[in-house]
Amino acid sequence: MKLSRKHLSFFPTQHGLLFLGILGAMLAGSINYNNNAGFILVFLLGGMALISIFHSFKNLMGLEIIPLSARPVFAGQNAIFPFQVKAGTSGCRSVAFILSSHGKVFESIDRKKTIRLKIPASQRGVLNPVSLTISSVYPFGLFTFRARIPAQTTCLVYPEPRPGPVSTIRGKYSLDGEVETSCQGSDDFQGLKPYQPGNSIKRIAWKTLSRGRGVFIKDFTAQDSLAVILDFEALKERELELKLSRLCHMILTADKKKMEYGLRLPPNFLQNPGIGENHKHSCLKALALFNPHFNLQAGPG
Amino acid sequence: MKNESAIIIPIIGALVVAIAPHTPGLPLWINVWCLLMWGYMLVRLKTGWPMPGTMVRYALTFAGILGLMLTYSISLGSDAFVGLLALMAAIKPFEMPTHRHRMITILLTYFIIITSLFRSESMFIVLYMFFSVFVTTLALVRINAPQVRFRENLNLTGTILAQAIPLMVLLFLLFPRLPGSLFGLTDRSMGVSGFSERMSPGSVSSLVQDQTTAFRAEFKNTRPTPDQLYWRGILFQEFDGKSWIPKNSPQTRISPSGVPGEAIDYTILLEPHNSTWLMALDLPIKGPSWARLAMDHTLTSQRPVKQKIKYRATSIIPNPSEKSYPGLTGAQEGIDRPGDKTNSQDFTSSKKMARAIIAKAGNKNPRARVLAYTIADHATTVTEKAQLLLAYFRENQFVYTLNPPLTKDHPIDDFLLESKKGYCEHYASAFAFMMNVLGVPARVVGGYLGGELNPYGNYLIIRQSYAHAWAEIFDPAKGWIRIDPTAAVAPERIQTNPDGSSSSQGAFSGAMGFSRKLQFALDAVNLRWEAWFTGYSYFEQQALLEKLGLGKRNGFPGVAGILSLITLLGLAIFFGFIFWLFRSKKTGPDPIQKTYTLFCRRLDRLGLPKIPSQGPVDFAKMCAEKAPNLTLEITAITDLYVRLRFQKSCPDTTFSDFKTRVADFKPKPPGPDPSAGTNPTCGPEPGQAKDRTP
Repeated sequence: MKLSRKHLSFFPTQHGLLFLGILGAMLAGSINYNNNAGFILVFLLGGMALISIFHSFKNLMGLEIIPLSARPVFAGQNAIFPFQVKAGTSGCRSVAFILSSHGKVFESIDRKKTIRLKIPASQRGVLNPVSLTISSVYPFGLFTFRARIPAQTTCLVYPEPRPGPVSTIRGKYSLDGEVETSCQGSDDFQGLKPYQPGNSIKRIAWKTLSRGRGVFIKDFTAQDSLAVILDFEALKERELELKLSRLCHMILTADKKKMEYGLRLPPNFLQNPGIGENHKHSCLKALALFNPHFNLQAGPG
Repeated sequence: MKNESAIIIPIIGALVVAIAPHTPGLPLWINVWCLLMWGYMLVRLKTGWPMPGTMVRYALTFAGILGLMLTYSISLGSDAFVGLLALMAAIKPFEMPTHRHRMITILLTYFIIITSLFRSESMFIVLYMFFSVFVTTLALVRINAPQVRFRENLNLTGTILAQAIPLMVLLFLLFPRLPGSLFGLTDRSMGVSGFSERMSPGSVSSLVQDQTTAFRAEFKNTRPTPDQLYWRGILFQEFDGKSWIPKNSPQTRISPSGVPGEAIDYTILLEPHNSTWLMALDLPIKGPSWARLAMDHTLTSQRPVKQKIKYRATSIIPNPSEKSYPGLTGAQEGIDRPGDKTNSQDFTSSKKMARAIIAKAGNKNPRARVLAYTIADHATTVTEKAQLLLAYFRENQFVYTLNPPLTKDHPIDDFLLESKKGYCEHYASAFAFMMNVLGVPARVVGGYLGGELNPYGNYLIIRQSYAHAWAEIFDPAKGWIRIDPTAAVAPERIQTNPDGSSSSQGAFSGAMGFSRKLQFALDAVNLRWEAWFTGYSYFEQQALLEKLGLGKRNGFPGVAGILSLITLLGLAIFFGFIFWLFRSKKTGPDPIQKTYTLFCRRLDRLGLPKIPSQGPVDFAKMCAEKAPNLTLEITAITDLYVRLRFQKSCPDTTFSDFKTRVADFKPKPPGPDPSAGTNPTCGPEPGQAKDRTP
């Protein structure tokens, strides 16, 4: 988004008001004593203040701001929103970028720069800094030009991971990875299932794929028995957020142990077992956006 | 530390530059004080000495104010004010850690700059002011953009300063000036030598040789000879035994025609002297339109002269072919003063006049009275009496000195019979007193005598030390005649200035030293400056406007008022335009938010207000519980909203769908609840009634 006149608002700063007050006093003194040198000083300072407005305006004009995508963070961390800013023709000096009244940085941009604005992410969900404020008092600090533009960027906030005992739908495994499961699986080939993101690449039915029939995975009962489903309902904690935090920690642990895991959330969300970055992200995203009242189907990616 | 020095050094630099013009006027200890404080701050940047704490700052402030009170006692004059500013400026750098303090320091610096302008408006001070503003503004830019390269700050400051100058010139010329002062606050004693309204010879033991300029005079065509340079200022017409005091005289209109002698046009640039007397060459016949020319040939302005003023005047001086009249010789020839209508008055009325002049003196100076009778009572004509008195001065070892002894109750007795030492005031006073005693009306004129020629500017500089007093006697046949008794004692005083300088061109041979030449050259440049800059005031502005066709002759008596209105209105419109152009713009909630707010408002009307802490989903749940008939719509809209908000890639249709659904969502408030009817205190809002139903 490129800054133009219609984005900008203008007002004197506190010091600007003080300056105008002093200027008024000087003018009154000059009039009273008919002091021509005093008049000259008052008009010079007034003229300079006036001219500075144009320089200030020129400084911000043509500034271009392009939001870049923010990496997801866990609740309690700082969300970092990167923006690419391009200065107008004559550079941009001492500009403050403020995101949702939190992240504030002062930058001078000669041509192009990436700025990173931090906002503490306190809650899981989607952190949506509604507006980005760009303001500058350059060059005299007497007048402010300010623009508030839609930030047009969001950051996904995962629940805060909290350690604790792990329970799954098919049994329990402790944090040291020992699987306690009563269900015996076999290595029998059960058939083909459509590929879902997160499924192990080892299980892809390459032959089917090479025949051009689509991506399928070979389904083995034994594989299922090794995988765990992390189930919301199985957790004993009362509090919703705590449950989600626990699930988050479990996902991270399972991912660390290269364990195959799935996720089930009420009422009917099920992420089939899988491994890998994308799978982990899908699961965490489901936790981030989880709402017990609405069945939100997480989108791909 | 480097960051700090990048800010502190420019600020201290600005303060030093702003205070510098004041240093000669400030007491030594304040100068040392400033140097110490700033020195500490600068050394601190290298050595890392600690920043003085709050307690130290308070102690310093207290000590400074105490010192100030000791220096200036209780007089809260402008000097003390400047001293206070300097003290504050010295301590201010200790409060630099916050941006706010730095900004206030810079604004204070601008204020210090203007105080130096109130001391002097000379060209050098004004030029220095530009330099000072540049340095201060550089510091201002520096503290607002410390990361930017210094050279860039420098360029920007220079650019803005240069761009502001045309605006400054325009405003300077057109900003409406007042003929007087705004609040009547006119205490401007600094740098102004007072012009005494009372002459008491003998009350001051020594006259300080003040070499500052009293006024300058530029002649159009001919320059008078040195012995013609009597500058008439104040006229003392009453004597109370000790002091001569002026008396009001009716205004007069004198036609310049028929006056013997030569009319001379000249321009005077008068330094402020806090009184209404205007200087003019003896004898003025025409002054500026705003001045008052009295019957007694004195020029006065309406208000005390508080700033430099420039005016033109015309005077009559005796024809060079005639013998000049100062001193004794002048008395013989006399000059007819055509303005005085008293010519026809006879001898007795003259005597009455003389008695009236010294009426307040009572019985003071009895010996001088006796002396006057002894010397000249036998003489018959006015001229003869004057001659005899002047001869007495000449022949009785009277000494011209600037350090006469103090006199007691009878100052004229003491002077004439005991000390016999005095300067012009003593001679003029004693002479006039004795003439009055003898029945010849005599008065004393205060003014200046002489003038130093500036060869570069071709004008005369009249210094404070050239102050002079002489007498005028009334001859029924000839009118008032100028007699300078000092000439009888010290004729050289008439021909040359007290400092030995001369008013004639010939004195400036090649022998003049370089520094003296430079001094004259600078004074000439400064005069040119003052002629158009310092002298620019209400009257000059009127003249300029007249030249531009906006003057009074267009039949607009209030053109100045209209112009001032236009100037102020123009400024107001300009600022208004700027503020309008950049009026505060709410980026407005984005369209999704806007639509959702509309939805919430509609539910609010049903008595389902959204609590700020409530999320959209919880809100929908609550609404669905309270208004089950709307559940379907509410859920659908909320679902769309949540999707639009939280789903990364939504089809474009989602928003339009959301919008139309909200637009169509116009639930009718349920009919008045029966419970609402039974409770009269319940508001008419159906929503509130709804709220109360479970």
